[in-house]
Amino acid sequence: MNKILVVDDDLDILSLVQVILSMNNFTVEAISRWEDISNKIAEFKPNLVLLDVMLGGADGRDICRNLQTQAATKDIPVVLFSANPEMGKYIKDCMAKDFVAKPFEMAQLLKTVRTYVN
Amino acid sequence: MFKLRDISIRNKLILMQVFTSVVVFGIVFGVFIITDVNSYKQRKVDSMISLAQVIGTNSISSIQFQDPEAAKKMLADLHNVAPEIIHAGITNKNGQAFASYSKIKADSFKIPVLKGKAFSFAGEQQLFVSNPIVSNNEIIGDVFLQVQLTELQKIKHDKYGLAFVLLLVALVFSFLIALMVQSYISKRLLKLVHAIKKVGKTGEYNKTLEEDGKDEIATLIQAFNKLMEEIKESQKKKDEFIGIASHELKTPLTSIKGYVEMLNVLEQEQPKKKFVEKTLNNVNKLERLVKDLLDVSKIQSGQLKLDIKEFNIDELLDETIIAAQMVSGTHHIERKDHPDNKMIFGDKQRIEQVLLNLLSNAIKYSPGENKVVVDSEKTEKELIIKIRDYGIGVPKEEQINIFERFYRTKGVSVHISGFGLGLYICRDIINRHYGKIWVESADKGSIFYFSLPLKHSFTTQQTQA
Amino acid sequence: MLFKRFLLVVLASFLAGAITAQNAEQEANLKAAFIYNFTKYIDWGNYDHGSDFVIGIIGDSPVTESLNEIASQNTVDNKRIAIKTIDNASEIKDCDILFIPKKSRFSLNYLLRKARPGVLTISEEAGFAKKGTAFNFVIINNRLKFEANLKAISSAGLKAGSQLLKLAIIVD
Repeated sequence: MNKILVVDDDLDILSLVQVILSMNNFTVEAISRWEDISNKIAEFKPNLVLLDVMLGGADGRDICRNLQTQAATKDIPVVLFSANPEMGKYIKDCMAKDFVAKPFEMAQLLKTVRTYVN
Repeated sequence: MFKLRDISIRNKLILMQVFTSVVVFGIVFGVFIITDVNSYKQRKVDSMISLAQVIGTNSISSIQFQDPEAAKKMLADLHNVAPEIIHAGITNKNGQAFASYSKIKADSFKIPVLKGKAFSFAGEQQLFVSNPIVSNNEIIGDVFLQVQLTELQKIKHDKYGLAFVLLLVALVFSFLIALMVQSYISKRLLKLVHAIKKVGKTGEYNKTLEEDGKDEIATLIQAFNKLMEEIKESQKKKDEFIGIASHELKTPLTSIKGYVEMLNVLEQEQPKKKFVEKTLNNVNKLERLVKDLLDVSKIQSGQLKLDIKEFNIDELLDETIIAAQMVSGTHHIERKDHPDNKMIFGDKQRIEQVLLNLLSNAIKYSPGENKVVVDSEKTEKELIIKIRDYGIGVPKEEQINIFERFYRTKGVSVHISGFGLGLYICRDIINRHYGKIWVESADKGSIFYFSLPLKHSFTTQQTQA
Repeated sequence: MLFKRFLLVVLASFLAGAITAQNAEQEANLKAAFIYNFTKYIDWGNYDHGSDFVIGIIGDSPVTESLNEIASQNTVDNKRIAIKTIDNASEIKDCDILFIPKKSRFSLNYLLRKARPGVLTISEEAGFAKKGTAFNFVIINNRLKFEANLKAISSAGLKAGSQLLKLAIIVD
């Protein structure tokens, strides 16, 4: 079970993560519009959501909180993703599992992802 | 040399007031005393001339009847009546002495020749008056008096003495009053000076002063506050800018780093692999620089926060040595001490940052040489980490300066890259851990030390803070 | 020898005479001046002997000439001074001042009787003040002084100023 949903409004980063993860045997879906998250989750049923915090028009932390409080999605682990290293402090606050800082080392990203998706 | 300009404003104000008082009082007293003396002299002249007039009138018959004895007798009375008269003489109309009287032991002064109704002063010691003796509109003689002005001398002496005492009293009073009053001006001024000095020392721009009144000092305070506002604003904007800029820089950097990393994995063919490696190195450098900039901006605006937890320092040392080793091809990093799972309180990530920085410096500043030694020492109160390199070393006079922002060692022949922020950030992190960071020169190279208080010290310090 | 001595004595007496003569003139002038000055200090009150101030002198006297001199140039109370030589006792009452020279023809008592109130009597013989003249000239230590008889002055109805009296030798 290695389905990962990546959400980021930067298309290049989106495709970069998708490539890295795919190259490492993960099944990846990537979306840039946060409005599509719910539908995509329902459709794709990922094992992990990698969620950018600074989404145009929305805060990833709020979205994470929402996901974790809704019955349909509360079991899916969320890892926050941001260029702002301070965001790591909000993990507990919005019930995310972990935090990856941008820019990231490939190895580090993979290690974190593997922790929550077997 | 005593410079008037260098006296504090407080003392200048006091001096000014005291000086003014003394001068004004001095002049006033002087004028009063002089007018007093002059009016005394005038009165004395008038009274002596009156006396001479009386003597003259009483001598008319003596002169008419050529009886100097009677006149002498009358003059002798002056001894009791006017003891200040030391010589009195009556002359006839030809100027010849008719009768005279001299008080014994009189000083000899140069006696002026006076005619008619006249007077003359010898300084302020003696007075000479003469007055004609008139009978039936005819001048039949002259009365001449020589007066010793001892009373005047006494009056002068007393008055000057009193004036001097009063002047001293005035001086003391004006000093006391000045002391009280000057604080009204200088206190506010000194407060402002103090605030400015403090700002200059601490760099805290958010302190403003209370505005009071509408005078020039209030204007200064207003200007100062406005300046602080502007500085604060511009600092805020700068920090915001750095924050935003570094955030914005990180986004494309993420893509660049990620793709180049992948290329590095995918590309094995030379020379493409080499090109990719070089690109990756520089991307990483760039990433570090951007991170450093962000950290510095946080430090400046006091936003750098530590995430204090207990962690295994030995484990961290090993991890960071491995990480640093991975990046350095030429150097060999070895650990001299014996790891024994020491636990300390601190921000693990930040300590890691410090270690990586010091290790990379050790490597950077010993080009060609290939050994870096890591050591640790535990005392009762603290843990000291030592990182030794065998490179170019740090000159003694620079050992303080290298921890300053943007500082780069001068006169270095080898080109060392970087902003010069690393050690500044390390120092800030270590200081926040209530530790110390410093460098010492070895016979070849340098040894960087940093200390971290052991857990009980840290917690107590924390509660103290 | 005897002749020389004789000459010396004659010469000496002659000289003495000359000096005496000069002194006598001085004395007369001085007495006249005194007499004139007395008038400044004597108050005749209501006694008015006429439009002139009369100084009568009994008989001849060297003082008369001096008095004439003074009279020509001075006045008393704006009155002309008239100097009269008195031969007849009846003229005495018309005088303001009666000067009784030495060796006058009349006796002092007679003259004093004739001198009614309003007349200032002045003499120049020792002891006369005591006998009743108002003022009496005396020579003491070669200086001209005068005695004053206060009773005589007041009997004559006159007042003498203290400035004058203080210089006088008071005799009563």
